[in-house]
Amino acid sequence: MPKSTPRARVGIGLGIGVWCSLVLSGFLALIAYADRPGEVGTPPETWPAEVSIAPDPTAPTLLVFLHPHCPCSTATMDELERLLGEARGDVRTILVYGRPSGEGDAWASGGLWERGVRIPGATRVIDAGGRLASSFGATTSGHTILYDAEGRLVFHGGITDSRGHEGASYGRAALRDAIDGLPISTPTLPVFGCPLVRDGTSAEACELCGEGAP
Amino acid sequence: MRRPLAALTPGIAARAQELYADELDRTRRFTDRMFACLMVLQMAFGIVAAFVISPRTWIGADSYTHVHVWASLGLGSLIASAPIVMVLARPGAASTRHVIAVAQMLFSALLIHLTGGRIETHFHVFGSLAFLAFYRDTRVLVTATVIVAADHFIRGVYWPQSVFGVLTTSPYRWIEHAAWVIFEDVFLVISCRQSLWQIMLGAARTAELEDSISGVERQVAERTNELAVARAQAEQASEAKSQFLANMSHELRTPLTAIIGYAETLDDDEEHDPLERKQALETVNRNAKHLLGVINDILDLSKIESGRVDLERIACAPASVIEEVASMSRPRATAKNLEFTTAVDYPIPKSITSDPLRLRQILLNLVSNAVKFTETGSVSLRARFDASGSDSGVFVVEVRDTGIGMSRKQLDIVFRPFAQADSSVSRRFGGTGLGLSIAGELARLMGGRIEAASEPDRGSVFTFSLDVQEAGLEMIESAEEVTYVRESHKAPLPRLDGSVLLVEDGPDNQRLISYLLGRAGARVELASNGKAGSDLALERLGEGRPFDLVLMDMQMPVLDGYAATHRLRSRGYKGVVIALTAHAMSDDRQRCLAAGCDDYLAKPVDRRRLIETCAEWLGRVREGSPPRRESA
Repeated sequence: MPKSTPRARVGIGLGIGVWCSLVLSGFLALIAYADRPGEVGTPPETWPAEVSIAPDPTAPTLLVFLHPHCPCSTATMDELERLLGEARGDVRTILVYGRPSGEGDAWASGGLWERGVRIPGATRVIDAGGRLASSFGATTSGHTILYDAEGRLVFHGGITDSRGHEGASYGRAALRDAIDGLPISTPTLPVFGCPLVRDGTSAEACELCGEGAP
Repeated sequence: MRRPLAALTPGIAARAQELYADELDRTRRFTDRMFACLMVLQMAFGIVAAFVISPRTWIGADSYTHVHVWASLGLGSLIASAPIVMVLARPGAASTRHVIAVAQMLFSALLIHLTGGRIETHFHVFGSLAFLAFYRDTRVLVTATVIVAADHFIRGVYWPQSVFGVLTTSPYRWIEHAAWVIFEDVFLVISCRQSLWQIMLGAARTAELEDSISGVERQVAERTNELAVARAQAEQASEAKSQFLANMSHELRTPLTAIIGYAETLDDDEEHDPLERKQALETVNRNAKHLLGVINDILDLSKIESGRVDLERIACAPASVIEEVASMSRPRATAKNLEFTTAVDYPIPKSITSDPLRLRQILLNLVSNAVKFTETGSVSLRARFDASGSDSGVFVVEVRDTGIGMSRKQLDIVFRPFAQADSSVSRRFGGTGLGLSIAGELARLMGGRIEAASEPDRGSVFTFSLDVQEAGLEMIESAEEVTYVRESHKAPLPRLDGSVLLVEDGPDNQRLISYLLGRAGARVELASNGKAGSDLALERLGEGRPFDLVLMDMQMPVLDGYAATHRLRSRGYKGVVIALTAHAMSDDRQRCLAAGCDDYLAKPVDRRRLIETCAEWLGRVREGSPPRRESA
């Protein structure tokens, strides 16, 4: 191996330094992106009367708003399945898949729709034009909202701690406690996911939307 | 790492180090290339995975390429770029290895992050470390470990979800992960060191093997060269001997033709003119003597080659030797119409200690050679003494001729036995090509040397030099002070008075020797073998009338001369026994004396020497009991 000249060594060092800086910047951007939550809307304190579905008078009702094609919400589904397995209390789960008004229901079919089958006791509904989401103030896929049997808001927020990342999280723990009827200290947590489908909502028009999924 | 080299020589150790460095460099370049491929594969895998898992993201009803796709393309390419560039630009360099180590650990970090800290993806770190160990460079493991530890520390403390998959964890959890990495490092370091040891051991063995092979190859080359030289010499010698045999055949057949031809002519029934008869006999005599000279040359060479030349160390007068050589050579030169001159540059030593016969033989050979190869012009013999002190100097004799001369190539071989300048010379001038060889060898044995200088067609100069170093060198200043020892062969032969027993099995020799002795006055009786001879000698001794002298041939049937003489001596015979033998090869003289003989005469019989020797011993017998001679 021939010896490098001092000039070449300086050049190599500088090159490696620039490379390290760029890689570090890339990592930081990626981590920052993963940790940036979507817009969290404010659900009504009581079950809205205008919606077509009614709350279960015998058990809490859990609404999970999903964008049917959002990749980060796969983690939400996995966490939800895990959570429902862990929770001791009864809960009625409704998975709300939004679709644009101009599209048929087939638009919502796919991975997350099929994945919903495996959620124990869950009911899947299509939210055409995002009307239900609007009624419940949900703007980001993965937004979970829990109402008790009397229709009072108990909890809302995300159950993952970053985009598409499974694992123990404050949201999952809080929602499980809420289902079990335990007091919770953090009734609202950030939601990591894609902006939900709502009529009149596009990338340009959606001021509340987070960036894409992980 | 130096221990495998401790027992090696410095040269082999240096070669082992070189091989070790080469092998390491080869291994590291290979690993560089492997990692470059791995980088591309990892980058491609990331892109494919991003496309498969999350190709697009959604904002409401609109979809876009997912950030992870861009990240796999951008960040993955960025991470892979530096090591690939380094591998291309600086393969085998330490900096390349370290950049690769950093990049590989960054790929691990990216994978762990993108999988949300899945514990399974942490195994990418362990696999990568094992792969990095291919470099056999423990410093690379250190770099990789530092990157892993730093990544786990920073992300574990600030973004634990990214590395451990949980939102909250102990701030020291990164230490546990780093400890496991170090745990693996320990074994990898041990493995690296063992591997380096094996490489060094292999290099040392290869270096030793190379050295051994090189030695063997060198020896083979040397031996092959020696064999080629020996073969060439053998072929040359064989050719020279073949040539010699051809020359010898010619040299022997030529005089034999004359001898046989003239003998047959004299033996026919025709009457011969006395002058013709005398000329024929002279021709027979001359050719017989020439034949004897050839045989003597061969015997001399044989003695020289077998190292059995006995040189005398007696007083000899250089001026006398020069004069003898001149007087013996002049007739031949004159016969060829050559001018023959002799000169001595005085002062020269009156006497030196040497072997006068051999000295004369050397000079005669040189002069004969000069005369032989000179057709017209002159031959000169010049002697001088180059004194280097009162007791030392060099006796120099220069023989110069205006003959055919020699080329440089011919000069190189002129002193080799059986070699004349070329075969045409043999055909033109005759001779065996032994004269100069014998002269050169004799000069060397006497502590002298012969040098030759020559120019083709202009002549040659042979210079004989003999170192002289003896106390009390007496110098003579002019020719008047020289006392010449003249040969006595012109003096009349002595008369023999006594009885001689000739023990000889050959009828011709019986007749010839009886005739010579009888003509000289001796009373000769004959016996045909050793037993008959010894019986007769003892019988006469018993009768009180012993022979005065016994001439004993040494090779006879029934009982040879050695056994017969031994028999006589063992039975108390005190009379004179003179050996007469054709055995003239090497130490026959000593053998004869050891068998009990008093003197030694070689065949063919020289009439004068025979008569003079017998006369001398008969004279001693007359004077009383003859002492045993130790030398003749």
